[in-house]
Amino acid sequence: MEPAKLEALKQHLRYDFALQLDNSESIAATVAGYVALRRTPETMNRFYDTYSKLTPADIQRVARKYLIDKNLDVVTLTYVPNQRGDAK
Amino acid sequence: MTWRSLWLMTAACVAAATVHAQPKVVELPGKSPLVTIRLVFATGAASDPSGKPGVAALTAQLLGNGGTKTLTYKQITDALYPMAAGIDAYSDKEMTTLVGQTHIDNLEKFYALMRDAVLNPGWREGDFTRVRDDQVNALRVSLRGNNDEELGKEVLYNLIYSGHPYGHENMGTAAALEKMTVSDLQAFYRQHYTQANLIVGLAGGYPAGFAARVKKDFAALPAGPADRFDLPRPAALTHNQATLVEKDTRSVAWSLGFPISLKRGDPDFAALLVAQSWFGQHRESGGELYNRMRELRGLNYGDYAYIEYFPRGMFQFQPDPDLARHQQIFQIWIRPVEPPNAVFALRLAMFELDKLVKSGISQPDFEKTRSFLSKYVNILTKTKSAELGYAIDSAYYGMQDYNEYLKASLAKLTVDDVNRAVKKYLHADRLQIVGIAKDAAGLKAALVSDAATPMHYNSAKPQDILDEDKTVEVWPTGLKPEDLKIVPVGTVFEN
Repeated sequence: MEPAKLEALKQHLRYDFALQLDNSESIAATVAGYVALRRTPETMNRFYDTYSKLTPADIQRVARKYLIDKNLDVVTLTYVPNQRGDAK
Repeated sequence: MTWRSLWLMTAACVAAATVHAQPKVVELPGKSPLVTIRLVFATGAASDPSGKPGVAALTAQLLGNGGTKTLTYKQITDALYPMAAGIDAYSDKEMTTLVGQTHIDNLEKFYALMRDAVLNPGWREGDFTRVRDDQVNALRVSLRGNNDEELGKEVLYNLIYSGHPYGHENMGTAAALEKMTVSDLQAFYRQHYTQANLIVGLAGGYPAGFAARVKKDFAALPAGPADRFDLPRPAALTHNQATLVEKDTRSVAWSLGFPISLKRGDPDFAALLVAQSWFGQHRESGGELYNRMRELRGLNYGDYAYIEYFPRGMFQFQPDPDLARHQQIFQIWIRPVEPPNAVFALRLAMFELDKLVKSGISQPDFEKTRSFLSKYVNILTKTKSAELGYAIDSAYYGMQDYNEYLKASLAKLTVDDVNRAVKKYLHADRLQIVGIAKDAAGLKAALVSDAATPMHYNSAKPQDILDEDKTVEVWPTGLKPEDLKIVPVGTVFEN
């Protein structure tokens, strides 16, 4: 992963998060999700601090560990005429 | 940025909107680090040149999704990505909107992109072809192919406004779009993207002097003229009429309605809004139509009523702002029903509308609905972007802040005001009816026949419902064979 792309992604995640906090309902739902973990909203800052420290090597290491064929399931949705299970 | 500063983003002070002279600037300054920019031009499909339906919408799409003189579209999307920002463009009959939101950290970079998108468009042939093909596909694939409910609503509007400046789909027709050229869009842009048509909206914690700079930048647009919407009254029906769009689809979607001589800001608006909300508040479970059709009978997923244009309602709970119109319709939206119950569903909606017109609403229902609306109006403007959009609409309609206006109007209302407005503006006959159905011929035969069309239940129902059904299943549709036409879906919005 190119370092510049990773930096753009980090910025994107950070500002995307901030832009969602544009109304009380969204703020309450967002903050509650983080506060529930460690009883402090500081978790939000730690989360985005963690993002900021990631390097391309971290991304590659994790991708090689998890995004592998052994972990892949593929579901294909197809249309078969006259077997749609329509309600009678 | 700390969590506290994130939280403080929404602690923006709510100031009364300030409106400047041409180009008009509507300001909602505050302390939020989020800044919204709305550029609303008072032009749209009602100003499409003859023979070129869809020009206004396509011009907006090219500005919002194309390159500028100095940057390609790819360079713009690459620049927007780290900001997590974007420019959304949408166009209606009288308004065309470009809107974006950014964090204050990126305001200068974002504003420069948005400014140039409108003031210095690139008009590249490749961008034009991409957005034109996208608009054709939106008509043929998304609307005609995959969204029977929106299709019914849009066909209804087209029929009600036949021969009227509102009388074509905002996106135009596939044939007109395929013949369109970049120069058609440039001609529309030169004539309609004027200072006189522009309302600039700014909300959030933008710095001192920013509004003046924006105003000065957009003074580069031609001064005028402003679009004029001297709209004729839509043709009145003398009796019910129906159009069935024939399509290979599993269910039947209905939309029905008629024009009303009432818009936001008119003296009876709040009164009719109470009646509409009680009858069929959008995507809420309290409406009468919803209760009688879904809750008591399990006919479908929901049934609602409207007195203002509300596109994309299947995807959202609150309407987008900046869809202001000088003419509106009353509309009933019956979500898809199973074909065997399609005629019963339509008859039930007509029966309920007839009850509303004849009997009005009760004092307790009036109190309950008024209370609901006086709170719900705050939900409509829960984001600064929406609040700014409503402020722009109020500037366009020439009225005060919408929330204050509605709350003040509701506080003064009586149930008699509501029922007087119902009698004055609503009627249960002279309906324009649109159905989307596979067996259009069979549906037509049932609609023009006097034969009963009973509801088919999968479970036992209370006797009072079954008794009422005996009335509903033979409720007159008011349709004769000559009042009902069948249209193949492939021809809709094609030419």
